[in-house]
Order: sequence, then C-alpha cells, then structure tokens
Amino acid sequence: MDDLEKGSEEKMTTPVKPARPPFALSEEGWKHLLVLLIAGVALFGTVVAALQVNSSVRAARASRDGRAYTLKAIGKSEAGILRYIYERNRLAAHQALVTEWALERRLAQERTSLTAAQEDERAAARLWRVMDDARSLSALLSPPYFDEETFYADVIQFGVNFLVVPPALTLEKEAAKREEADAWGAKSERYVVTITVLAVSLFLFGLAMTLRGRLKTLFTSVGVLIVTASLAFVLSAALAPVPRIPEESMTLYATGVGETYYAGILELGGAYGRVPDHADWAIESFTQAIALRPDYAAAYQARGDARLLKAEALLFGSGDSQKVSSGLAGSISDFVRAAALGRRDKETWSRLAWAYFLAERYPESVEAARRALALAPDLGLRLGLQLALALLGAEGQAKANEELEAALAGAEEHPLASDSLAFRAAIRGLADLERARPLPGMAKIERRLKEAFVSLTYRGTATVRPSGATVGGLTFESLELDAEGRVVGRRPTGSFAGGTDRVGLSFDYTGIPQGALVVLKVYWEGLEQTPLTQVERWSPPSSGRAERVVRAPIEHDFVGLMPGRYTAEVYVEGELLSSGTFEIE
Amino acid sequence: METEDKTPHDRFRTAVSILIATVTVVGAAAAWRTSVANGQAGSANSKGLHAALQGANAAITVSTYLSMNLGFFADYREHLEKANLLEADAAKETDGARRASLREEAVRERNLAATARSYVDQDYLAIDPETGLEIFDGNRYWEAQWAEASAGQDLDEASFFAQANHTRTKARALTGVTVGLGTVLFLLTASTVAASRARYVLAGIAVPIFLGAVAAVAALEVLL
Repeated sequence: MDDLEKGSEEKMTTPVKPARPPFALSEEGWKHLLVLLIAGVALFGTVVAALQVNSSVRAARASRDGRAYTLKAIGKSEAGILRYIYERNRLAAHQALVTEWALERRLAQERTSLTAAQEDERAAARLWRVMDDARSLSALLSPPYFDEETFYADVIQFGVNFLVVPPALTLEKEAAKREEADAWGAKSERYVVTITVLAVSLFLFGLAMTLRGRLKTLFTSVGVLIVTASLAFVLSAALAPVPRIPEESMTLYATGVGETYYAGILELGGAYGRVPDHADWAIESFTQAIALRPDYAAAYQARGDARLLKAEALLFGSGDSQKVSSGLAGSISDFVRAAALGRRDKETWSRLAWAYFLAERYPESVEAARRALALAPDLGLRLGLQLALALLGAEGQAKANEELEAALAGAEEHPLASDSLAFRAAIRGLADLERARPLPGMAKIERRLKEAFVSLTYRGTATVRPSGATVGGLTFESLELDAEGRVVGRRPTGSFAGGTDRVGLSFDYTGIPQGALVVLKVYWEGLEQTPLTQVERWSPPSSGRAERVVRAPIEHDFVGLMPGRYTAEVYVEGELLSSGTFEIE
Repeated sequence: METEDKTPHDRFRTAVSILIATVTVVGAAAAWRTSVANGQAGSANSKGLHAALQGANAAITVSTYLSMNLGFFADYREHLEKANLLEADAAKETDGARRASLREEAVRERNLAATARSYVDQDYLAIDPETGLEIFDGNRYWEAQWAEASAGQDLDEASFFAQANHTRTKARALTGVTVGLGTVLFLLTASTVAASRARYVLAGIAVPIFLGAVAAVAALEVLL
C-alpha cells in the first residue's frame, strides 16, 4: 500500500470534524453562558422584585392618604354646613328684630298719644341695641359679608367660603393622591409581569442546558429576547413619571370652583349682569392652575364651565355677541381638552352639548348629548331634554318631539320629585333661549314641557288630553279693599305701584267641567313663584267669568310683591289655555 | 461522513421541548392578564369607595338642609297660628284699647311668620289636600335634592363594586388556569425523563389539559 492509498484509507476511517464557525461555542462554552445568563436573570429578578415592593408600598400609602382626605372632606363639609346653619339662624333672628324695629318706628309715627309714641320710640331704641349686639355674635352679620347701611348679608359669599371652597380643596387633594396611587400601582403591576416573564426565561435557559444543537440555540435566543424585552419594560416603568401635583394649583382650582358657584347662583336667579365678573375671576384662577399643571383635566372642565356660564349670562343678558362667541369657543375648547385628558364623564359631555347648542353647532351638540345620555340613563329627563333641543336644531321638529316624548315617558316612571328641578330649569332656559337663540318649534317644546310638568305634578301623567274648555285673555286689576281686607272693587291695569301685595286677575271661560283640575301659575322674571300657585278642583259653573287674586302668601307689614315683570298662566286638566303679563314698578 | 438520523425519541423530545416553551409563554400571558384584572378590580374598588363616601356626604348634607327648612317652617306655622288666634280674639274683643293691642300683636306675629317663611325653600310648600293646611313636603325635597346631587357625581358604590367583583372573578379564574398550566409543565417535563410508554401517557395527559387551558383563557377574555 503506498502513501497515497494509506492517506485515502485514513481519510475513509477517521471522521472529519466540520470546521467550527467563528464565535461558535463549545459545549463547555454553552454551559458557562447559560449559567451566567441564569445567574444574571436571577439578579435582575431580585432588583425588579425590590422595585415592585417599593412601588406597592408607595401605592398603598398614597391610597391611604387619599381615603383620609375623603374623610376630611366630609368633615369639612359637615362643619361648614353646621356653621352655615348657625349663621342662617342668626340672620333670620336679626331679620325678625329688624321687622320689629321697623314696626315700632311706624307705630311711633302713627300714634295719636304722645306717651304711646314715646313708648314705641323707646322700644325701637331697645331693639336697635339688641340688633347691634346680635350682629357681634355672627360672622355673616359682620364685614365683609354684611352691609350695615343696607342690612344686606352676602349669604352666597359666606356659603362659598364655608361650604364650597374647603371641601373642594380637600377633595382635590384626595384626587391627587388617587392619581399618585394609580401611577405607583401601574408600576407595581408592570414589575409583577416582568418577574413572571423572567421566570419563563429562567425556565427556557434551564431547558436549553439539557438540549443540543439548534434547539439549544433556539431556546437560549428566545430566553435572551425575553430578558432584553423585560429590561426595556422595567426601564420604561421605572422612568414613567408619577404625578406630583403642586398644592398651589389645587388651591387655585378650589378658589375658581367657589367663584363659579357664585356665578352659577347669580345666573340661576337671573342676575345676568353680575355673572361675568365672578366668572372672570374663576377663569383667571383656573388658568393659573393650568399653568402650574398643564394636564389638569378637572381645571379644564371647570374653566369650560365658567366660560360657558359667562357666555350664557351675556347671551341672555346684555347680548354682546362678540364676547358670547369667543366665550363659547373657549368653553368648547376646554371641554374637548378635558375629554382628551380623560375626563369623559356625563358632566363633560352634557356641558359640551350645551356649549355646542348655544354656539349653534347642532350636529356636534347631538353627538355630545347622546354620549352624556349613554353614560347616565338615570338622568333621562334632564339629558333627554338637552338632546331634544339639539335635535330641534340639527334635524327638525319631528325628531325633537320624538326625543322629548321619550324623555317625558321616562319621567313618568318615577316620582316627579326627582325631576322638578330639571323641569323648572328647562322651562326657564327655554324662555331665555326663545329671546336669544330662537329656533322654529322651540315655543311648542316650551308649551309641551309646561303642560307635562303641571300634568305630572297634579295628575300623575305627562299626557294631556284637551278638555274642550276655553279660557279668554287674562285681565289684571288693581283691587279696592274694605277695612276687613275684602275686595270691593277692581280696576283693570297692566302696571302696579311698588309695594303692591295683591293683584286681581279675571278671565272669561267656557266648558270647564265640574271637578276639573284648574291650576294658576305665576312667574316673576321667568322664575316660577310657587307660593303664588293656586290649585283647585273646579266648582263654579262650567262657563262664565272667574275672578281670582294673586297675592303674597302671607300678609305682612314690610314687603309686597317684588318689582318686575310677572306672567300668569291658567291650565285646565294640564292644558295651557291662557297667559298674560303685568308689571310691578 | 457523519449522518444524523433522528430517532423517534429525538423527535418526541423536540416536540415536547417546543410544547414546554409554548406553555411557559401562555402561562406568562395568563399571569399578565391576572395582574391586569387585579389592577382593574382595585381601581373599581377605589372608585366605589369614593362613591360611597360621596353618597354619605350627600345624605348628611341633604338631611341637614332638610332639617333647617323644617325648623324654619315650624317657626312660620307657630307665628302664623299665633297671629290668627290674636286676630280672632281681637275680633271678639269689645274693649277698644285691648282690641288695638291684640291687633298690633297679631301684626308682629304675622311679620315674624313672614320672616321665617322667607327662609323656607318655597318650591316644597304644598297644601295638604285632606286638611287644607300648608305643609313642607320633606319627601319631595329629599328626592329633588338627592337627584340634583346625583347629577353631578357618583353617589352609588354598587355598580363599581359589582364591576370589581366581576373582574376579581376573572382574576381568580385566570389564576386557576395558571395552576393548570403549571401542571402541564410538570407532566411534559416528566415525560422527557420517563420510560418509553410512560412518556407518551404523560404527554397525552398534558396536551388536552393545555388545550383546555388555552380555551379557558380565550373564553375568560371574551366573556368576562
């Protein structure tokens, strides 16, 4: 056998090892790598566990502090209410002293006997001193709330300072702690997930140690991939910011809430001229709060509310259209921003729907109103009326009526007590809207609402069926009274002197059946005056002329009916048959 | 030249190894979803507690204002009754001076009645149809004020707690699935070291449990 043959023979019997690719590991190398990976992952896991414990503890602490703030807010609220009630009682007692003092002074002037007049003067002087002393016992009867010239007490401002701002601030602190707890809780959850995933990678590395070839490489690669992804996940969780809300921003927010409350009370009472100042102060507070905390969703929503209040007051009051438009645009922008920051509750959508409606953007109003209704179906009447108005603008009378009837049907299903405020607010709002933003069909909706309200209140159903009765125009009369206070003469007039405490009312009618429910309602400057409401089951003849008296609920010495514009309405079996207006100077 | 002939044993080990990796990934996913569910339940609990506290606050506030109204109404009725009685006595009085004095006193009481009445929320004054007397409808006041408070904030914790309970049920179910997946892992790992026939039995038990666990996770995600 020659060398060539020997070489060939050697080649045939000796196995040829394939050339090792660069960076390929030997079995020993794999073992060392896997051991290092396992140890590294174990260490990484302990670090993540420590981070998880830290986050969990901080979340628990923030959650505990938040609940403590909630309890404190309740405490502040109750303390404020008790203080408010004390002050209201003091105010009532002071008012009683004032009426006594005024009476003594009047009697002193009317006395024919000098001795009696002097006695009355002395009584008035005693009462004056008692009043002075009484004011020293009350914060509401002292500056800055009380004007000693006019005897006017700013009960609203007192309410803001004691009832609104303190609990609002404490609740904001609670909300801040809740946000902090949520952020730490989210971190903790991510760490838990990471630990679980690292356990998977450990398992894969352990398994890889028992495998050979491509499977070994595959399992190791997957494990390394998991560990790398976990590292990125942990880093992102660790670096995620935890909200740190400056206390000053919360204080500014609470102040703004107080001013908005004040503006809201004024707006409800029809004092439109005074609303913009308070709304502006509120807007400024919220703007400063947002500057300190740009993602302050609650402040955006509240600023939107303040802007909407101001725009509404301007629209229903002075009508400066430029300011109204810019106010509404700002309000809409704020509500949209609040929703984008997560404030997607029924309040935001409902207020946004109203803002869109006043801005005459009816399709958007419909969409926002639908969102609000979907979130709060138990507020069916309130939100349903809002949707009906939006549909009136966007799609016409038919769609609006359909939604209105659905809302009224919902109101019939539960006691009227929970909807009376919604009815009154809607009726008053419609009266203002018809002046400022009239739409075809709005007057019909207002009429339907009024009839449904009367019918639900006194007949238990929103459905009104015409009785066939007719009522002529209402005539208002100045009354002549005898010594016993009985009416002995009536003189038709549409205007009455200041201090008038009763107004005559008469009307011709036909076809009112015996026992029919007849309701007389009276409004002052658009606000329903429930003490002046008269309800009766009809007992006079079915046709004729009826005479009634609109009077202050109780005769007293010092105040008659308030000056202003009054509207009277007559309903028969819930159907509005006649209305008229008179003025008191 | 070396040839690699895969034996059935090698193919089995490969299949089981891949299955084990799959099970660990599914297990990690189930653990993640459990953590998410627990987090959601915690958040719902927190919101529910907040609503319960708001509800308690609203109840105390409304009842306090109701008491205030009832107090002023009681004062009004008392002064009005005194005024009516004084006027009735004045009408029967024959002595002129005494009559004038009674009428004066009646005017005072009527003024006090008017003052007290002005502090009562007029919307809730009504006439009792049976007695014809004026009443303060406290029930209607409560209903209306509670509805007004509800319009602006959540006062009922029930829906949040129900959501939390529902999510915790899901979390508990997912935890049960995770235990099942752990069992599958054990069976598959045991199959890699077991004798010939036993390894197929173990793997045969593990696979249906795994498939059931996957179906359970999918069902829980869709249904709960």
